[in-house]
Amino acid sequence: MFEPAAVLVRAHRPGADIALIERALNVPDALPSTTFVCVGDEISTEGQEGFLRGHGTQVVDGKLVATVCGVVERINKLIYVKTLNSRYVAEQGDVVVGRVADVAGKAWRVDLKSRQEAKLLLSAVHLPGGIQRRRNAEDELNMRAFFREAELISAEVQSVHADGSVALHTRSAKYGKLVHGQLVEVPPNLIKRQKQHFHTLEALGVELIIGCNGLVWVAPLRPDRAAAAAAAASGGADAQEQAEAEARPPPPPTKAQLEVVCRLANAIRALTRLYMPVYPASIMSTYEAAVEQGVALAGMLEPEFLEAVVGQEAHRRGSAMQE
Amino acid sequence: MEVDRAGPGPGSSRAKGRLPSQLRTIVSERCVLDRADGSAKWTQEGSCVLAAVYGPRQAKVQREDGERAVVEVVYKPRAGLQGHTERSRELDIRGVLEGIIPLGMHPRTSIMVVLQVIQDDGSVLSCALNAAVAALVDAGVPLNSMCASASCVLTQEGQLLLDPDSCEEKAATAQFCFTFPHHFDLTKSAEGEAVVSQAALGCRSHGNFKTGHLLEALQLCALGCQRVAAFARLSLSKSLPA
Repeated sequence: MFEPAAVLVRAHRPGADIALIERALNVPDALPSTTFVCVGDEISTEGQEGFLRGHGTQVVDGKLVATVCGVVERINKLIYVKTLNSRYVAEQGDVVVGRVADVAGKAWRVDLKSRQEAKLLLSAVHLPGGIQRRRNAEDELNMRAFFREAELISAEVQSVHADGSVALHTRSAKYGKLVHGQLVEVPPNLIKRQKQHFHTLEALGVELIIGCNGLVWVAPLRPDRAAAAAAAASGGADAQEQAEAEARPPPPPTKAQLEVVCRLANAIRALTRLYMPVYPASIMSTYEAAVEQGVALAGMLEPEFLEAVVGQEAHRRGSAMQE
Repeated sequence: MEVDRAGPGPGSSRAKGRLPSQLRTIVSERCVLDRADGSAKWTQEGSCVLAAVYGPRQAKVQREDGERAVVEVVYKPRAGLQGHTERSRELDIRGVLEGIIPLGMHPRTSIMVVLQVIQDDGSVLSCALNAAVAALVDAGVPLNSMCASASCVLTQEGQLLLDPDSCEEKAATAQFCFTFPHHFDLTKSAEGEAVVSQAALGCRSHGNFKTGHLLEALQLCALGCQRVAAFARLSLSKSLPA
């Protein structure tokens, strides 16, 4: 049984987190940026024959003008303004984690913590067994058997329309309902788009889904589902077997598994507190640092451990610069 | 949380030496609330307003517009329930914000601005508008231009006073609150000189006055807005490093 731990109350000191980062990275005062723009400032496009207008800009009277306050980023021909925090903006092909908000008329409305709710059409979900058939009226009535309201799902962005509405699909066995795990909300700016968003950490027995919209899912690994997904990917498995494997309830996780999941989730929360990018390597290095130093689960969010994480990052950057 | 001060002002009241066209000390804090998309606390010496912005996010079906974003403003007084003055201020603030947000960019979304008056010592509407714009910038909502607001009053003797406190407002014949859009002219200097547009975005007046008074109040508030704009730029450039 768990013993209830004593409640620790710490006074809130404004600016303490920033002071911690500045101390560790030896940055006394943040240098003013030369490419900082404010709303309405003109962005120079001289020296560029053509350019692609990105987020945070608009063309007014033939001039490129910023609509948000931030730093101008230029990547090849793309010019956009990066703000410190903004809502997630969907791009085609992003892997996202969302919560079902509503079930209505041949589609689910999924909340992605973005500007609008995304739509998941009934025709775009993966049927158990991988069979392809036309959805009929009975499927429409049984939509709740797939996903109910307030359930978490992982999906991929199929398309983004001109007015900003997003269409999702779960046309693969690896997408679908997420159960028995922990969800961590991270500012979407900290998540980089990478080739792989599904990570299976077999050594720890944990699966990690880093959604591009800032929702990160950490759950104990389910070997039976993993096997079924692998079989489906290789193609040609028995439809009946697959349906059974997916319908079977998951075995209850052990205490050791839960502890690993909580520790990983806390590692992600620590990175969020320090506003550092969240990707598998940074999560694993934070996790390993916590295990090495024998930090308690709740102690991973205390200033002492955060300082250690920042120190590690400073060391990594220093050695990277020397190379 | 970032806190910026506009520099020690010479005493808040006219008795202590504040000139008729001098603003009170401004303090602005960004990122005050955790759960809101953007938040800001704007203090003009005695008046303090906390603004929170939620959005752009999915609008309720009854309120969504298929072609543009919907701006919802909630203005809460320091004490008591919302009355008719609060509702009319909500309409004013909504009109001003709809002028600076490109609504057609986000159809079917809603941008909700919640304003809570923490302290009231005159010029509260200006304070609320400045706080709302700072919160919108903090939330990363795209804007066509920034805007600044300043208030002034016409005394019994016919003198105009900028940024009045509550006793001056009570004793005044007329009260004005002007909002101007501003942008920065980067050709003049590297930091950018604040250029306040000639056209006002919002004007709220109350009381007994002549046309001449209105035009003079417009000029005086434009001057005040220039200083508010310079302060807003300074506070943003300090909190957005490379």
